[in-house]
Amino acid sequence: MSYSMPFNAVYEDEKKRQLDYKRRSPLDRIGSAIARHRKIALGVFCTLFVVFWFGFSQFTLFARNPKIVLILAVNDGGGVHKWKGEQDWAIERISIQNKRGYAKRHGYGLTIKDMRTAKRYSHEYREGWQKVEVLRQTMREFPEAEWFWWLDPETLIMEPQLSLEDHLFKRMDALSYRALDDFNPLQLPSDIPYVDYSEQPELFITQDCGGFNLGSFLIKNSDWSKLLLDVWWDPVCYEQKHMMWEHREQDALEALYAREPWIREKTAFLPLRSINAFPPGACSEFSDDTRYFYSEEERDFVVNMAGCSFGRDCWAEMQRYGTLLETHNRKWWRSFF
Amino acid sequence: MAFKPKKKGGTESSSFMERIAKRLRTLLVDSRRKRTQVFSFGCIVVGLLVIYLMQGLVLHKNKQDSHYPQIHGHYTEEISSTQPLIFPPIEHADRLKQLNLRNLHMLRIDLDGNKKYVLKEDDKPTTDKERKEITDDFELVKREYLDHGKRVFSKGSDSPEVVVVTLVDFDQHDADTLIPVVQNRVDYAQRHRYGVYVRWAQEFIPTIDDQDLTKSYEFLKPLMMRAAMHAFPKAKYFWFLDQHALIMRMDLSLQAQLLDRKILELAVLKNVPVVKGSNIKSYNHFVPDQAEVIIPLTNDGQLDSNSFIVKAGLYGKAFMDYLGDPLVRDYSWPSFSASIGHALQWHPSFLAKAALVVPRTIASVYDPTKSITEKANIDDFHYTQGDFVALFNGCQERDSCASNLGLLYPQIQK
Repeated sequence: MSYSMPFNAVYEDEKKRQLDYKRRSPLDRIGSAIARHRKIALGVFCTLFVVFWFGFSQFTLFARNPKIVLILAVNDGGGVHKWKGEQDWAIERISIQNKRGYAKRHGYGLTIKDMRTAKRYSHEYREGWQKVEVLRQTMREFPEAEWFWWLDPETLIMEPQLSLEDHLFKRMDALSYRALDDFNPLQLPSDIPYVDYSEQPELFITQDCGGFNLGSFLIKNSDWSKLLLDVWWDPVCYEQKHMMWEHREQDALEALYAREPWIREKTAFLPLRSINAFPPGACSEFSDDTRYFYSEEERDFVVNMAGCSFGRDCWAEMQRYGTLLETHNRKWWRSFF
Repeated sequence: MAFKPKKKGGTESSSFMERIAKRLRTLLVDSRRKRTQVFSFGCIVVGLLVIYLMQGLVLHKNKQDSHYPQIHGHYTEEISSTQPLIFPPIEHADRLKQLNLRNLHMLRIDLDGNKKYVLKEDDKPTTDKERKEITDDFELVKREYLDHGKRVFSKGSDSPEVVVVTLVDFDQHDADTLIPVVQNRVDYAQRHRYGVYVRWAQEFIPTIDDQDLTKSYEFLKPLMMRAAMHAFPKAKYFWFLDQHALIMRMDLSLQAQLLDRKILELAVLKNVPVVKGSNIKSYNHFVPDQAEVIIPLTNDGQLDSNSFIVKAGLYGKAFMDYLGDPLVRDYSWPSFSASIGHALQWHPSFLAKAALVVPRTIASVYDPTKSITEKANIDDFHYTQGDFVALFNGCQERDSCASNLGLLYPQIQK
């Protein structure tokens, strides 16, 4: 503005009013502050950009390292061998929402892992490597976690209000069993040399009518479990047995459990119904044995529609248990709508 | 009464409940009765403590109630030995050879006509009284043979840190050959306060499927090591030394020779192929402190399984269990060291704990065509005077085990 301009009182007032610090809107004030300290603002922006964009996964404002991490395997097969229909997608969605809600409610971590059939697993000697590799990868991803809970896609947590601590960890000694005297569907040797049962278990699995079931199991983040995941798949064993081992990683683990004391001494079993209850369709030849099947009265924790894609109707089962889950957890105010 | 009550009246008229409330107030909150209060709170705390301790006791009992089987070896009944030198009476070798496995173990013939020796796992140890009653010499030898597998080092005694493990075969050698071998281990162990664990190879035959000893002898090594770890539960290192080998330097302790961190650091071979021609190389950033398996890699690039050390940790035990797993063991390996090579190449967790060391440390090989005073070439690792150990690898093919042992045994440096 030059001196030669005529004096305009109205204009001067307006200018004063605009410059009046207190009267300006906060956005304006921030804008002018940034304009005044351009270099500092640029520096701050760049630092934040670098920090958020290029890693430091630890650097998030509200990050807490979860002690328990749920691993949910989804997209089994990935539609390679058979078409993935509308219902398959819906099942997957319900399952993911169920676990997401549960993990959020109790502050657990949740990681969703894609189990599509990749070429590197397609050779018959390698087809079961995937679960082990996913577990190892997750252990690298969550180095601070203590326990990992593996869940197959066709599972539903039926009692989301129960935390794993209350339901399992606090009463693990009473709930789990390690000797196979009472329940031994595979007729594994019940006692082998050099097993030290004073060790604390670091792998909790369940047994169904056909042997070990790895649809829902807990594994600790430890040296032992990393070594187990390394030894689990051995080309020499698999080459000899791949025709017999119909259930791949389950059979391999059974073989290891049967013969290697270092694995047996840290493996414990949970009753099937505690984390892995079956619908009536699975293990149907034992339909009168209550140890296997989900009981509505006793409010079992998890239901696993194991093998529902083999001749059963996954969608119907998922709907049935989904409705049940909803009625069990209906809030009182919902009855008004 | 000489003194007046502090408060008059009221007390009689107040009801029972009020009196209790007053009493409680005096005991707990009244500011004038501090001493009483301290006492009453103390009583409460002690009471809670007692309840807590009792509860702990009860819970503890519950834990002990679990009826899991005790840790045991192949036999469920065991004999506790206070001596850290566990070896069989070698002089029985010739009589054991006459007895043969047919008389020593039970032979089971299944429907298809397959014959198999089986182990009587719940076999009871012979008592002194029973032993006195046995008059037949061969029966006594048999009882001694069966009881030897049940011996474990007693828990109460001071455990040795290192145990020398040797597997002897009475079918292949007579007592005259084997006595110096075992004596050599015992002398060495006594000098350095180590333990010795020697078993007959034949004792393990009933526990495996391929019961031909000449073929299976090598693959018994992991089973033997596991048995040794069970017999010495508190020992740290287990050194397997083949029966065709002698410790030539009595003065060198294994710690000073190899186990010491600094020495191991020097002896470890880093970034070399695990077996000849393999793409898998030993780790460049190997940490000697974490080594749980120490195995010599010969200059031809082979792992020498006639002399190796295993630490009784998670990885050491798991490694032995893995190698002794029937699925792994019964695979058609060209040799036992091939199966070790496979394990190290396929399982990085094992490789990270396996120290491949220069063979001169614990595995110099005696070569009869070369003089033992001649200095070895760089690419050679044959035994020369002053080396710690002499292995007689290949002496069975040369049919010279007994003569080689006889030649070197007098030269041992005390």
